[in-house]
Amino acid sequence: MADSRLSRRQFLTHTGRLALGVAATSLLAGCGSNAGGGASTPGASPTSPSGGTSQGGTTTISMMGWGSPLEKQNVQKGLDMFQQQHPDIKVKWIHVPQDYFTKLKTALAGGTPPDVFWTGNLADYVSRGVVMDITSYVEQDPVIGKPDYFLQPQEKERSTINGKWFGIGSCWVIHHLYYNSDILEKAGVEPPSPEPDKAWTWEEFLENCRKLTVDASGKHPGQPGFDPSKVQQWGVSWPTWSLPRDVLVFSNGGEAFTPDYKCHLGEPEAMEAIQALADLAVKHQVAPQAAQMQQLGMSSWQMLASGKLAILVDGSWALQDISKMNFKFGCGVLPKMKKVVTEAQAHCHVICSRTKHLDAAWQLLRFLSSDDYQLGLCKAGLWLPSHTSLLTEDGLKRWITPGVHPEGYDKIATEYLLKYSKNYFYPAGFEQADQILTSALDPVWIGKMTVQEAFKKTNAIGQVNQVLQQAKAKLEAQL
Amino acid sequence: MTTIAPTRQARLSIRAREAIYGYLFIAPAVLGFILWIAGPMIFSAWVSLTQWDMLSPPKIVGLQNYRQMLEDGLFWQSLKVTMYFTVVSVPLFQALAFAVALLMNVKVRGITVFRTIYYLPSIVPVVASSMLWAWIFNSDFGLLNSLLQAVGLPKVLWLQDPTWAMPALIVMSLWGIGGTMLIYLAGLQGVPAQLYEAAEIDGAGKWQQFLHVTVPMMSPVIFFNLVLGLIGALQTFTQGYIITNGGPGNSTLFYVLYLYRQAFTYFNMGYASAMAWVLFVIILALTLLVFRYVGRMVYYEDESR
Repeated sequence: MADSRLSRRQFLTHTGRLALGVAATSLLAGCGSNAGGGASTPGASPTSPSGGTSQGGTTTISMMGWGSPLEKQNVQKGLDMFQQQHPDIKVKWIHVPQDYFTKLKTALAGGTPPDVFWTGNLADYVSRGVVMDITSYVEQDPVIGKPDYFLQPQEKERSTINGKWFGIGSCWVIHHLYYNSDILEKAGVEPPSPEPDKAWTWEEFLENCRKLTVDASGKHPGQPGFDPSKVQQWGVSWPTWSLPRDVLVFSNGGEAFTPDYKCHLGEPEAMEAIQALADLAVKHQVAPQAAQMQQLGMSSWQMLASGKLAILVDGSWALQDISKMNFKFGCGVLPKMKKVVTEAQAHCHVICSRTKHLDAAWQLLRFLSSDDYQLGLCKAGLWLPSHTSLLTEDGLKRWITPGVHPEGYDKIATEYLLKYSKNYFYPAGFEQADQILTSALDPVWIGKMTVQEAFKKTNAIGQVNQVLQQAKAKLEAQL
Repeated sequence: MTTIAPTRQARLSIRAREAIYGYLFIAPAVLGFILWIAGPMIFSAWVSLTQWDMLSPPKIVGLQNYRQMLEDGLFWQSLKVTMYFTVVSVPLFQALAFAVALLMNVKVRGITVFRTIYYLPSIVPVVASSMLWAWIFNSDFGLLNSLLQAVGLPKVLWLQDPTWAMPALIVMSLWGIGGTMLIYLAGLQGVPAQLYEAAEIDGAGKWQQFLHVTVPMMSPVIFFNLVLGLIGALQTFTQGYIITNGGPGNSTLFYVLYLYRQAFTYFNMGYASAMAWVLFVIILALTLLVFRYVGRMVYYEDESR
């Protein structure tokens, strides 16, 4: 049982760090809680952020972020470029590949926060006063301040709260279809198009999935004698976690979370969509039931590449890995229930409200949202651009890469992302809300309950709204 | 204060010197304990009386966190999950480790190779072995369901069905018996051979030898492993965190996993600290119970205690 003691030790270590940090934290009290107060200097903070020293005209600032080895490499490349442009600013890059948010929170609590960090859920950090309001910087910037610089309204929706800018994104990621070209061809199924106005209807999608699902004796779901326990090839894998689940809710005209801090997943359109998602496995038998578990063990990418799966719903970020696997694949837009839509989101870069080097931190933030920085990971297939300039004909040429982006992928960017994507609204308190929803819906995916029954039995929506109201009150007190 | 004692240079007595050395020798351990265990514990006791999100200053709320636990459905769920795991896995784990140790104590050729093989899983990091097990339990392509289907049994949704997720994790925990087995093995090798010889002369069969020689002689080791196993089981975290993330339907929401979520996901450090103290009290109480009722059955060869 060494494992559990290890985690206990980790816990104690964290607590230990907290203990050391508590003195500093209580000193910071005043500073930490007035963070919403505009882009003025954060006052005479008694503790300086880690590495925040300036000597001989050089300012050192720190940045904390996560990322795979490839991302890490790309960030380093970007930072080298930044260094050349700004020889007077040195960036200490704190790369945390695992348990990032635990480490970040500990650093923030311990009084040694990084000057710049990456957030998952911006509102959670803004509501705790650790994020600097950068509105005046953004608006006065000759490049970033231009109204058509970013894809709008998505950028504004994710980076601002009550009209104030708290961060800037440097990419978008969306959900779309991936398919194994050979399997579709063999089954005589026309591949899904990357053009939004040619999206499959839900019925077409179901029909195609049936054709693509085959058991050991060559039968398809719906045919007499079809054995779901001996499926050799699945039609589709559609994961059931928040984003792929709610993108279908959007498509059915429903909402997940709205800026008034309400959860709408209990409304009829939403429940209908979630049920339709569950029915792929439970009723129509065209999807494996292990959807959410596939990331462990055999991943859905491997299933797709090895021909055990015909169509996969996944994030655009998966393109980086899928394109490296040795098989013929393509990408298409998601099928529509009522309307064509996809969700879009990505992390934001923010400045810590306790930074002592606001101007230097802003220069870094600004750089992190530049073409120079985002192009590297766009080319690799991990990101989609967040600048309109990269979606023009010339702009596309700068990042669409043969061998990574399949044919027609430009339409995914210029049409699907630009015109049909909806910013996924993350309220403060999202993680807790999501865990309530996830555990309530678990029995639905295996057909033990309907969505309606599950929500009714657990009162999940009521609990979620309660969590959201508390989070909202906290956020409002801070703004 | 102007007088300085000039003759204080006189040698310290041997007793005093030894005392100083003694304190110096235990200083690292004591300091480490105070700094890294006692300090944080006192701190967390204080935090448990506050509402603290780690980012803004803590607010003292008295016993509110403890009161809140009584009404928190997930707190009780996590307690239930942890108890279920402990009650089932600890006896299974100890029995299996003991049985394997008995096998590893047999004198056959190449026994060291077997010992190595059986110990190997304990060296694999939990994260890696968790991944492997997730693959084995995969309902569509996993090894376990393939085996079940090969003998004509229906497939089981091991990690998606709230009924089966915990049994799956318990089976997985048995994978880690290596360390405990090793302690049993060491204990077995310390049982004097003449006792067996004497028993044999008295006409005891293998089973009676096991029951009347091996078990009593091993009882201190069994007791030791039982207590450690109990404490470890109550603190289980990793499997629920990595494989099931507490699901499906909170059926594997271990106590420490829920505590971790409260602390680092929901920003409720005060509540998490209160939970930690409640767990501490539970562990203490159960351990004392085990000492009281199991401890007195332990036979010590050296009865001078």
